[in-house]
Amino acid sequence: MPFWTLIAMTFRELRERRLFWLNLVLSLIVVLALASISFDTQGVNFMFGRLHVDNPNFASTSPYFHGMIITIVSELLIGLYIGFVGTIIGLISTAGIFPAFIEKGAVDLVLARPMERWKIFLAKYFGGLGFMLIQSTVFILLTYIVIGVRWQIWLPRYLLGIPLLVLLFSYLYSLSVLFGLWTRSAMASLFLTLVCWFIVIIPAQKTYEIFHSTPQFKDFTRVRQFTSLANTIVPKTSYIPTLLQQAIGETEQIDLINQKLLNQNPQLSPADQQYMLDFAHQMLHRPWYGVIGSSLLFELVILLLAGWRFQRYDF
Amino acid sequence: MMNGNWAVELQGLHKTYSRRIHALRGVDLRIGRGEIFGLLGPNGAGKSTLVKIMMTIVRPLAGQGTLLGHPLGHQPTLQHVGYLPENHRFPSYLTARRMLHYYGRLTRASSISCRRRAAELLDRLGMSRWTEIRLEKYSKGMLQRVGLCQALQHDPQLIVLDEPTDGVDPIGRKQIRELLLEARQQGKSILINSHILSELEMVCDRVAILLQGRVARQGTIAELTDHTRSYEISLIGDQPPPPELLQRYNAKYEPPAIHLSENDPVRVNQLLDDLRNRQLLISAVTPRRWSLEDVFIDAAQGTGGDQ
Repeated sequence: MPFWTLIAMTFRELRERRLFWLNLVLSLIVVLALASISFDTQGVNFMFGRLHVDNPNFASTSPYFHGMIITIVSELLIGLYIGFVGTIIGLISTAGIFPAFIEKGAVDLVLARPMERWKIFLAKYFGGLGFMLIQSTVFILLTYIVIGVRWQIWLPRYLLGIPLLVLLFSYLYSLSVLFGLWTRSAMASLFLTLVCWFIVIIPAQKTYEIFHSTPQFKDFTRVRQFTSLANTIVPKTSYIPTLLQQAIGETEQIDLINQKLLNQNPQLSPADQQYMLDFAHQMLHRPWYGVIGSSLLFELVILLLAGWRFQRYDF
Repeated sequence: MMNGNWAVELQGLHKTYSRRIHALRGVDLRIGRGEIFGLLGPNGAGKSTLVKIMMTIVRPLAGQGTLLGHPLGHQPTLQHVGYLPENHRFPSYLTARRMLHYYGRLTRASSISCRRRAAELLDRLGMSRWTEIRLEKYSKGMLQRVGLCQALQHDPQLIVLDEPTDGVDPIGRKQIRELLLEARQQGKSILINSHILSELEMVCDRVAILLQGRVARQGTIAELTDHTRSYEISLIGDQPPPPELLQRYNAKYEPPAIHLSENDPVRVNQLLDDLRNRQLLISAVTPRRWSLEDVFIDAAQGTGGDQ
């Protein structure tokens, strides 16, 4: 009972912040913008039909139409908007949870309750995840309805984006919790988390992709091994769109789109095109449990460190 | 040997911060059931550390203790303990009603009992008109009152209060005092950590003075102050008492009164007889005793012997 009370109160604390509502409003604006787009046999219409662009690739009759929509939705809406912008807003909102909680006079009131410290720690942690759960649920449900109603594409598995986004957020939030407990400062926690994300986690994933997808780096064996190792260790924050594409299905169409895009590049030899295509195919079909499992392992290690700190600290 | 007859029993508690700062250096303390116990000490004496160890907020380096018969750190026991920390920070976005409900639920109290007790306590402390107003609008004294409600609302057996009347007006102090005395009548044990010594003197059965991490003095107010009893004999007129008389009784003369550091009434009466025999007129004989503040200052300055 106290565990759930604490989770609910942590979430309530987040709801009191303006950013929570700002993010929801932003999401509604993006959903509205999405709803203003429609497709016909010639191409795509923007602003509820006020602007028309002829493009056979976006025509509703195109054989790649479904794959194109899934790619755009997963890469732009999920990967870029809510997975990136939303996550940053989420990190800003939640960075203060632990530093504020462990302030003298506040933490005493909770630690002096009949509840083990590890449960208090987990309740605060899960309460913070509530931010992303609400934000992503609202956004994905609304976009699911818009895509279904406006474009006549119903993708029930698109709803798996909700747990995937919470998962993405949880990787970074675990870092924020650790830094928050260590520094006791919301600003420092946010700064260090963003530094880790932009200086370590994203570069580790991107250098792996570059060194394994570029034919010129085929012979850089040591570097390729190192980037593989680094990519295995860090949480896979950039792979959420790919996981979502896998979950929705239609990966054959996405493979075909990738092939078409590569074919349009005259500078690449057929062998290089095939090499890059193979890598894109491999990335698209990577086992989800490997991607999620290694990321969760990272998160677990970070949470154990943070939990240990919380458990042992004299407040 | 510890037993469960005490509400709080602490033995040889040591605490060091950063391996250098000795907050506690072997504290032994016992608080009886149904007793109000005052903990005094200058800043940095280790009072808050002691309280935090009891509440599992800080871990002791060495020593042991029990709370309501259970070892320190036994989480379920905390269900029967009410705690008001010093400089508490309640979620300012909550109303008093919601805040009390939140902390009540954290102590495993049912929603119904939380609501009932909260309403009752807020009414007792004159806060019933403020229940639906956010805490951010409250004054220090009001926060202190709702903080006290928070510590009492789950009907705890042991109540630990760190500076409970800090910032509270005289009426509020009286209300709090009455509430604590009532809780004692119900058999609850109360530990008060306060700088307002006159307050403690009014309600505490026993007190302990903590100095540099050690219990310097401990006992009932009477035990701590009895040895300081003295008499003041006021004289009429300008005629001073003979010096040999003052010397014999070890008394001092500060016109117009003689100060006699004597606890024995027989000796006082002898002096009175001697004064009358020398035709000195006496207007009043006033027994004097140190206040708790005097005892505290004496202990803090290290001029008196340990009790």
